[in-house]
Amino acid sequence: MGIEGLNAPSLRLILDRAHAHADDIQTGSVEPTLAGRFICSLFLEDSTRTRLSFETAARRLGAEIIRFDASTSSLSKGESLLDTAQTLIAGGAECLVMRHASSGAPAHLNAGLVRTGHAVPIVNAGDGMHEHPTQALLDVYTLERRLGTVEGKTVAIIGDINRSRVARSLTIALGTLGAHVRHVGPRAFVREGLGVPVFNDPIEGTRGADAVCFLRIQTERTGRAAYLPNTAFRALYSGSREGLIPENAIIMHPGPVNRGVELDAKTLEDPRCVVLDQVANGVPVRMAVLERALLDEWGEA
Amino acid sequence: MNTRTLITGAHVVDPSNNRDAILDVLIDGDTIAQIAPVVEAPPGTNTIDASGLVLAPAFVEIHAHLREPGGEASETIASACHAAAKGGYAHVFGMPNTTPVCDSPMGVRYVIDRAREASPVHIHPIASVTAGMSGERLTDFHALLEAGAGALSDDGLPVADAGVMRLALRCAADLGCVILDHCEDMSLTGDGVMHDGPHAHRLGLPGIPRSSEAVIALRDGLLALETGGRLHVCHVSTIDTVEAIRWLKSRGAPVTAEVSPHHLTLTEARVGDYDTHAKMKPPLCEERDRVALIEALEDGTLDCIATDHAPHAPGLKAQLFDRAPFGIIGLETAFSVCHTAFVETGRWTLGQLIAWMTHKPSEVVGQRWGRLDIGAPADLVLLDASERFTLTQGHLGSKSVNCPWLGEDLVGRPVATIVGGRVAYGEGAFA
Repeated sequence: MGIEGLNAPSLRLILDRAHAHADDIQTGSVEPTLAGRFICSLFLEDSTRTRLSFETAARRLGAEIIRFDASTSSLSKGESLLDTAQTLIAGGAECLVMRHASSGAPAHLNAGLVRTGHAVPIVNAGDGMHEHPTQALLDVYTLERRLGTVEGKTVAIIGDINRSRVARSLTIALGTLGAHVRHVGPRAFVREGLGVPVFNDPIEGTRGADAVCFLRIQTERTGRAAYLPNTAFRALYSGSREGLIPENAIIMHPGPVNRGVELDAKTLEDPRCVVLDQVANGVPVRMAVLERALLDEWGEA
Repeated sequence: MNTRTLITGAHVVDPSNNRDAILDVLIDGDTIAQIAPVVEAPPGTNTIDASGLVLAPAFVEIHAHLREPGGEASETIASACHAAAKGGYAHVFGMPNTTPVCDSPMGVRYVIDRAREASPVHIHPIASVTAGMSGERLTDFHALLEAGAGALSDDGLPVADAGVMRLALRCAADLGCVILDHCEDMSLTGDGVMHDGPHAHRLGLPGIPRSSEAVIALRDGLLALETGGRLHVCHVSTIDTVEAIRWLKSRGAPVTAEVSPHHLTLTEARVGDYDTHAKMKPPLCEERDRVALIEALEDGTLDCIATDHAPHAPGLKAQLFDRAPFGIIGLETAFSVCHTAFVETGRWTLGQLIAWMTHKPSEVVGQRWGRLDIGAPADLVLLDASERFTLTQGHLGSKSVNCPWLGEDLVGRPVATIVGGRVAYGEGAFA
């Protein structure tokens, strides 16, 4: 349900499995380890790539995945999340892939299901501003594909970190695996006290980094007036600023990109940019995560 | 109780009268008739042996939410009275943020009348400062006080406009009443749901900056200094607000302040993994804040303890953290929690704790309650200060159970509450 609480061997197991799946996808030899299993995706907040990626991952492993549509369901009639989940489980769902706008929603639902004796594995596909574990895993995976390992490497995360579940999960994952993480951004977007060096000066913050991970400006979550107008942000903190991205650094963004704000078209086409790789890499990573949720013989460290 | 009751052998702790000894207390009808080492009971007196118990003035609560009218699923005036009686309280002030808001003499009378039917516990409605708590037009303070309002407050939805607050304090100065001020700048709080610190960041929850409370406490304190209007700062939660009050008092501002048992004993860490029983306003802050609050109470910067008893029906508190309402109940547990944390550990004397729960809050609202004066109403509480128990729902009296201490081991508990000579709650010989 979160990267927090997973130790390095647990992360390693998922990542190694993902690397193996990627090879199998290349050679067309994916083993349907989840054949006949029934997964339900419960997305109560908009998503394109995460949901598609989970659905593709489930199907590649032979599982059936049903999409629960919040807008046409009884949830819009006021049915509670717990009631809805119990209904899905009664209908045969063996695993829930869940996205929710509230931080802590998967843990809250899990507690309710445990209390009522209907617990099934819940895979967190993003909860509020809390965590987005599979995004962090696929980002680490993407870095490993390019850099070999993340251990000892420096990753600068730049942008609206305070409100980013991606940043939170990625920071924990990279830290657990021995990478050096920096938080870079204007004062309204980053904060001290999280055990990670903070840089308000973007040039200084990205200097010498092996990878720069840009974050989406969360206009849908800030609620109030934007701190910096997009023009100012672009001038100071975007990939198009001269000298911001070190020459050999990988350029990442979890998407969706605000084109022309965090990254412009030219940077997106740069050979160092792995934004589309990140999307593609979501599938083998989520295959591994679904197996971890559903397979008894998953060798937990 | 009979017309005359003699309570013998209790350890009487009555801080305002410097009583701290084994004494007999004779109650005649609704008043205290005699307090002495040995009182000869007149014929026909009902005598109760209270050896081993502490006898103190019944507690005074100046900050509670009764929820009626409008929120009866969470609490009624009757259930709040029951909770108060179980907690040892004789006087309870009820905040006006009900539906409708208590902003009219009729609203004030309604609460008083309902309470009289329900319990011997005295309920004092607090009327709103502005009509409908909209922060715009002042209510008719004079008419509300005449109807029986004990104080004025826009608790929960504080007056944002400094000009309106200044006018309100001027009125309060003219009429000699007190404004209970929930200090919060809503524009700073924004969508925050807990203290803005590393713990909020870890949980991915929007934070409430500490400035939200202090800027309004300082602003309204300056307005009190300027106008002479009596201001009482509710539920102080941060070291910043403590410093602001300390400075205001040093300037001679007519300001008092309260602190809650939860801010004295808990920190943001209590939120754990999204426990809504640690979600309240102002939010639980950091250890340095908690320490500052304890020291400020001890040195007189803060005047008294008040619980901010805020019942919410179980379904409401079972929601996701960011959606659940703010607040916890506190009437039943205030004494036990503070006694366990501070008296049992030797930091405070029993007399100190009792003072902060009796005559000190009473003085904030300009009353002479919370003292065992001869001829005064027989409002008293009997405490078993040595009882060790695990807090369960059975100890609560509220209609709601949103209490963060359920399951905790506590020491010391009220076992009987007598209000105006009538038993409002009683166990054992007082049942």
